[in-house]
Amino acid sequence: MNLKDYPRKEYNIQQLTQPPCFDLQGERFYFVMDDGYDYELNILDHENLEWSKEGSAPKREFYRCLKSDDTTYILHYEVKGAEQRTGHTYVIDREQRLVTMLRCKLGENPKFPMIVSSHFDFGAIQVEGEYLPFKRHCYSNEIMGTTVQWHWRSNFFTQHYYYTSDHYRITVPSRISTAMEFGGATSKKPGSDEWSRYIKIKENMFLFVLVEAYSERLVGGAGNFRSNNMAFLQNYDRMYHVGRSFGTGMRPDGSSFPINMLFGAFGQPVELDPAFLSYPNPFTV
Amino acid sequence: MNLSNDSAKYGVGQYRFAHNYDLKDKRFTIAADGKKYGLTFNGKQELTFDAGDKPLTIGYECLKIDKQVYFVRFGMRVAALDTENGLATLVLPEGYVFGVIEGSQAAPDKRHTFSEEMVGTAVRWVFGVGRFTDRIYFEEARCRASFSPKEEAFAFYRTKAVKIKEGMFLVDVEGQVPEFICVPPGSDRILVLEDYEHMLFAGCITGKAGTIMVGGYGDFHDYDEALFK
Repeated sequence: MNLKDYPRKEYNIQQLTQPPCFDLQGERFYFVMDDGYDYELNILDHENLEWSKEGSAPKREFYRCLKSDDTTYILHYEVKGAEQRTGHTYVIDREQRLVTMLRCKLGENPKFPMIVSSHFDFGAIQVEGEYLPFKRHCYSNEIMGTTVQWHWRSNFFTQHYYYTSDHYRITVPSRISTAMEFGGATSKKPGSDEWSRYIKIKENMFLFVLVEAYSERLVGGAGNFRSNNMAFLQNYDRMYHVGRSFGTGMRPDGSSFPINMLFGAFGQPVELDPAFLSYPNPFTV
Repeated sequence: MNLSNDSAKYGVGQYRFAHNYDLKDKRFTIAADGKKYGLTFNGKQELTFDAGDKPLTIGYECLKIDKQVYFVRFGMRVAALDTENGLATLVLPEGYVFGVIEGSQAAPDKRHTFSEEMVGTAVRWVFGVGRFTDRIYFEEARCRASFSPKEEAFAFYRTKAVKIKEGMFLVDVEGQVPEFICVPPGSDRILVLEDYEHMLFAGCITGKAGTIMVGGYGDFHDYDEALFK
């Protein structure tokens, strides 16, 4: 048979996600965090862990984990029973014994409760008998000027432009508009720019996080759109990323559903239209 | 600085997934045709293979293609382990071995098998930026293949395909590749797990220049009908 016709599932941005990683099962991590509240992870098996914030009782969660290179992991879980949906995402860097933690929450903005907040903290992995590293993962502008095309699944590509420390811009092949014309409500926006952060993990590896905040403010709830917080662990030596999306989706009937999924894509250099690159960010003065 | 780049650093190995260490400190006994093969993973880099004579301790590389399916290369040998279904295929110098992992829930008579299910498929597997192979599986024992940047130059290669599970095959393509293409000169065997559900692949290329682990994604293109004949 022609396996082009293989009855595969319908994928959105999950198809080219690399397989989940179970490397960390049986391991225990103590993260010394810069904001003064340390965290501990006890990876029980390939899908369950216990986490605790210093001074609190351990809580058990379902987690998932992907690798960006042999020693760098992105691990995510949603906190069960939280009053407002909360996600914890860690970049665990075993090579440098460093960690970046991203705490996300829905409902912090009373006017736009679907916007997912992002709180970053940096720290080091404590290992008995070893010194505690003083270096940290850090916010970085090194990636500014990067244009890249991400291949998510058959016939679906996005093109990103990373141009300032707090925004990024997106389009799809053959379109030069700054509006994100995926056929939905987001095309009503004056531009595709969204809030973002860039964190250097190591040479040629970055954690890129975006929040679909302008989209939520301007068109949220219309045209089947609700917003997400997306965290991409990007490896520019390999030209791929692995990551996760945390937020809300909307069905055609207007009902919403929680999104908490892994994703991944393969990249390639791309030349983007100068008009796309130079268009002023319509959301900033 | 624009960090996007071609495959300068890793070449044809650019899109290879991170090494997988799920199997570290695990032991498998594979039973096949009245014989037993032991695979003991002594940590992240070394395993001991015991085929009943002199055990061999050797370095290994493991790539994961699915939640519980692994491509393990140790020397010139390969194991495709499906720990979900309890089945294993060993590719050894003396040939293919289809076995069952002892202690698994696999039905006693179930095995991976050679398959012609892929015949009729044309696919492009992408190793890295601008580096890919086009494959046309037009009959069970041979395929037509080409390699970038000479993607028009199809040649015949000996082919074996083993069905690992629905939509997943271990594909073994043998034959001397031409010069000045994306894979190392002197390469004569490409052995990969192809996953047609996720359109991912993982495996290795071997030849005179040694062995390189590869991975990446697949896509479908339109090809001349004549290439299927």
